[in-house]
Amino acid sequence: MTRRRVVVTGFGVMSACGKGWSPYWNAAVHGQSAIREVEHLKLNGSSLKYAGFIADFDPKQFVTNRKSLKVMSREIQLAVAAGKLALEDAKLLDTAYDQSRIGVVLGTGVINNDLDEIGAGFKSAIDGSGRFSMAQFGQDGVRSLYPLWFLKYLPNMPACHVSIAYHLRGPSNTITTSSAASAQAIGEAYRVIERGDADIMLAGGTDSKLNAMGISRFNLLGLLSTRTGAPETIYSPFDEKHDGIVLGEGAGIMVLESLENAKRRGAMIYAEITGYGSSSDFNFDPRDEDDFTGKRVAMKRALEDSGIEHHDVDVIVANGSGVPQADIQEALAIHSFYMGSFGKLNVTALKPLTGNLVYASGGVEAVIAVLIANKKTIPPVANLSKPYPACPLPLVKGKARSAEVQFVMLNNFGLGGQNASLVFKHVKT
Amino acid sequence: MSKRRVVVTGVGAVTPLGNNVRDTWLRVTQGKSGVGPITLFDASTFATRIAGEVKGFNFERWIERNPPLASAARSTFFALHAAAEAYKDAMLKPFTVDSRRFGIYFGGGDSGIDFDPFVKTLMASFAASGDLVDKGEYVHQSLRHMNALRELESQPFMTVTHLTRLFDIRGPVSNCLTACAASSQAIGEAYEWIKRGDADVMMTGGSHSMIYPLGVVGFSLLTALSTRNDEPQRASRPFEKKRDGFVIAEGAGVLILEELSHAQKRKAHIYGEVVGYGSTADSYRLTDMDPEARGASEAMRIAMTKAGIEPADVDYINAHGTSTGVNDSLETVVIKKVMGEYAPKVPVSSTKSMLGHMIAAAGGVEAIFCLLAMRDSIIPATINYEEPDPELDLDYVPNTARRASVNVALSNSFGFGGQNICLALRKYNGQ
Repeated sequence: MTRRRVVVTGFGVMSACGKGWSPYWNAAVHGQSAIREVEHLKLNGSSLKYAGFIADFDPKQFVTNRKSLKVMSREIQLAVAAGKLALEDAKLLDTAYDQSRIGVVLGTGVINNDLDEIGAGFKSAIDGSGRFSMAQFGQDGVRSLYPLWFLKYLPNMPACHVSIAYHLRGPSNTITTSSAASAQAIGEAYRVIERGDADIMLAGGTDSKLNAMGISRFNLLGLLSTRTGAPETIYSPFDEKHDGIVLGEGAGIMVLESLENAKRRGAMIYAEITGYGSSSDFNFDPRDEDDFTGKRVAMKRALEDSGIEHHDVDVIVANGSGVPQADIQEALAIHSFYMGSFGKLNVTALKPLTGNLVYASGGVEAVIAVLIANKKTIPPVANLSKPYPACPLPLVKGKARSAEVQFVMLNNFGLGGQNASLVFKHVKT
Repeated sequence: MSKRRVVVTGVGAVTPLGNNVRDTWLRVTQGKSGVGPITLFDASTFATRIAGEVKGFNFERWIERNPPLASAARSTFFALHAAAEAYKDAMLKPFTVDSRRFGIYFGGGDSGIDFDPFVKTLMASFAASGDLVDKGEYVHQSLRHMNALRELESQPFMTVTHLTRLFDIRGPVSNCLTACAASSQAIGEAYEWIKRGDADVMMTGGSHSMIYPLGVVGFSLLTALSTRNDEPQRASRPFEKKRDGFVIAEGAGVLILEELSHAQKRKAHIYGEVVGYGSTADSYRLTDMDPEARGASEAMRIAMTKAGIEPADVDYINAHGTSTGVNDSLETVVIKKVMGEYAPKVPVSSTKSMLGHMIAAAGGVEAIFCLLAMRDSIIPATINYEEPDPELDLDYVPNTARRASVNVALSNSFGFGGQNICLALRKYNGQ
């Protein structure tokens, strides 16, 4: 059985950096964070003051059917928008593709309820003594809920909407492994094409935790950065000032295509995807000098899948969540391959640009990883002034760097200990 | 590279009919129903007050042995219990399997909102007037009422987190959540991983519980649930004329998939072989299935083509068969389309008639039933089949399980939103 080669032929990005991949790439090259103070959230109770919020998103621009807009949460809207941009970029939008040979895999989590949407239902369940009464909720509360309310919040709905909006009748899947989810979605979509189950796949993810339920969870878990100052400077992974996550929202979807199919239709090829590895953090022995951590194992699997060695890698786009312990663990995992002899390797991280997109992280970050392979330009780690001493990596600091780039690796590590790494390869045009 | 074949060497289940495979299967073959009144919360005023709940499950025992599980979600315990059974059943032991070649692809559901703390938080954060919620106050109040670990454990990756931790799974890892198709999809993807060579042994299947207030309300508002509250055991009646919706249920079904030569080398018992997997999307409407049922038919065809199976080879179809008006009509159309002249001859049954619909976990137990049907030569029935629906005229194995030899079985799972999965399974005959 021969394995089919898979290439990237388009992207769609919705993030605080703007609409489409080009403002995001520009922000990356200039190390400009789109994190701002989020006045409207008025979350005085939380440590969250800044976020990568998409201020000017107008879903009607992407969704013409008003009726379907009503059953779309923000995450779904962002996914449908990113899907459209991706198809447009790949010159597939409104073309006559074989619908049964094109599918979708997205990384999405549980979509948080809009409290104002369900609030009335709960309020009408307050009984005479001022307490919540389940009996009253079942009777009166339920009536004030929008009958299709539930449909906005099921994790598989973004993929379903994307499949419906763009007539994708091939394989459909939704991966839910936290911050590794979207990178896994891309890896899974790659496999689907590789084994011949589809010719084209939309892959990536969508998320917005910029709502009361999302923020309260991160706040409770103590993962949010508490720094104050110029908003665009505070999210700083691998910097000595790193102290946690700054949340963002967005969607990133790429078009993966069999090399054969891309060539046949004369598509512009950004890069080839050559490796995917996943792992979990548990049970690896820290004394084991080889597989001492799951993060290293995911990277190793992606390298093996690509048929390359670590010194073949030119750039690593790190997970770099900005949570000190996580940054240190990732740095140790990368460091363990090289033991200080990094050679040509450059390491960058992208989360300061858009904020941490959680389940959607890999969807947008993979876009930059591919563009690095395509343009041979390596964006710096935004807001990096003094690298944290426990993260001894060849981080790109200050300005973007031009370099010969053949292989780029992307890391995405999830909160539940699931890890994913992808490898992209430069393609000569 | 020679083609790697994938077999099932272990099964485990926690269902409304029993907390292991043996009890569940015994009752399934006897045509018993696991549906009853909802006891997990006060549903007395809800439109639907019945469900297939797991009964007599010993959560404490798991927590005693594993204190970090104290905050874990209900469905995580079901998954662990079913996984422990499957692991033991497959005679896997540390060192019998290279843990780096042991992966997991699971269809683990989320566990919904941690209801009481959520209600307390919400009640304390309504704005002074109107129904709007003061978001800042909500975040503030959540610190008083909510438990950080419970919040984390409710997320749809945590079941896999605990499974990898406790079963020493160091191979590749994933979790999918494609509504009612999730665990079938997980089995299909796990099969592909082994075939590709990414792992030799995979834990797969799924677990879920949506029997919580907002879950029941959500499906209820979509008019998807049966309201036959007075006759819980007769409420799930797939393909039958008086069907009025599905019965929500909970539990877990876990399978150990293994590369054939790996299983042979360690002389593992082989339940059967996974021979085909089809995945498609309807791309039609969110809640409705395509009236032409192209997606679902295509999924069945793909699974059969990959397996090299003709309609004449199929001995049993475990239907998605939810007991909703639309699903059962369309699934009948699908089976007729795909099976052609053989459609009337193929036994088609829905075990959801007995268990209810375990949502993400449904496909896991249904694949197990297909394998047990092969082992015991018993085809489970569709119970509560009283009055035929004139349009629905397949052989639904009404009311009583049937003795018949089963070599090839198909299992359908169609997810809400239009994701269709079909798995093809074949009896392993030693070759």
